[in-house]
Amino acid sequence: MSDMPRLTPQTIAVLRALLATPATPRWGRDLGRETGLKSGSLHPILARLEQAGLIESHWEDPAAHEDAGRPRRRYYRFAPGGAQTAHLALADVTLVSSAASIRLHPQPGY
Amino acid sequence: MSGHSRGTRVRHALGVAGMIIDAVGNAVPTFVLTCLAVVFGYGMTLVLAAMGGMALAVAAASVVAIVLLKITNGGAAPRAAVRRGGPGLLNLAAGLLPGTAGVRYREEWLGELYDLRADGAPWRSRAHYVLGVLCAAPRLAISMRLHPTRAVD
Repeated sequence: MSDMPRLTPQTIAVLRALLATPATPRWGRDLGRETGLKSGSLHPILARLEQAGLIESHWEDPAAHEDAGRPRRRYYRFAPGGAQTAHLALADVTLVSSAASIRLHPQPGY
Repeated sequence: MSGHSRGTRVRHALGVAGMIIDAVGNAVPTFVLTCLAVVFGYGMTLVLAAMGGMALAVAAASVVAIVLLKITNGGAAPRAAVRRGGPGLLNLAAGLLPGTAGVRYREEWLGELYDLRADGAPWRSRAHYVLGVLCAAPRLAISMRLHPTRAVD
């Protein structure tokens, strides 16, 4: 697994959406709906997470989409160990942001 | 000075020479590093400008394509333009991606466009989707060329 990509708020939203149901493969538009991200933003994020080895993707089973009469979907899910890495990374982000919010508490009178 | 011995003058001269050598020794690496930083910074600026230019060009091309499709489809157009032109523009965006990634994302984007239509999304939403993909494609292409994607099929 290579380096964790930069955790922007959008990347964090995607990781949280995937972590909500780590065992369930999710497809692009499904994730976009949940995170509120447009496809133009979502796919580069998914590509970066995939490049980092955090998630992996696969095409939908032909039987499923042929029965439904629609194009096949590309599903994304955590790679082995990816969910745990994502949990740790998000915990780090939460710690850092809470520490920063304590340090940067506004002081009255200025 | 006339009171100084020859040995003292030699020591002074050696001291000055040492200072000059030190200064040159420090200045040369600093100069080289500065030159490298300037060249690298200039190169990065060019790369960023090229990326921005490419994104603008694709976005402008897509707008022109939609307008042309609207004109050629005889006025009823935006809906028909997006229905007929959307897949073509997604093909254009996928064409920027390297190797098999283009095929993969083309199919993925076309599937999402199909789902948007199936969900009853208005033509504006679909046009917005296509434009979003077009604008993101150059960034995705650069990212994929720099780092190959791993996938499980």
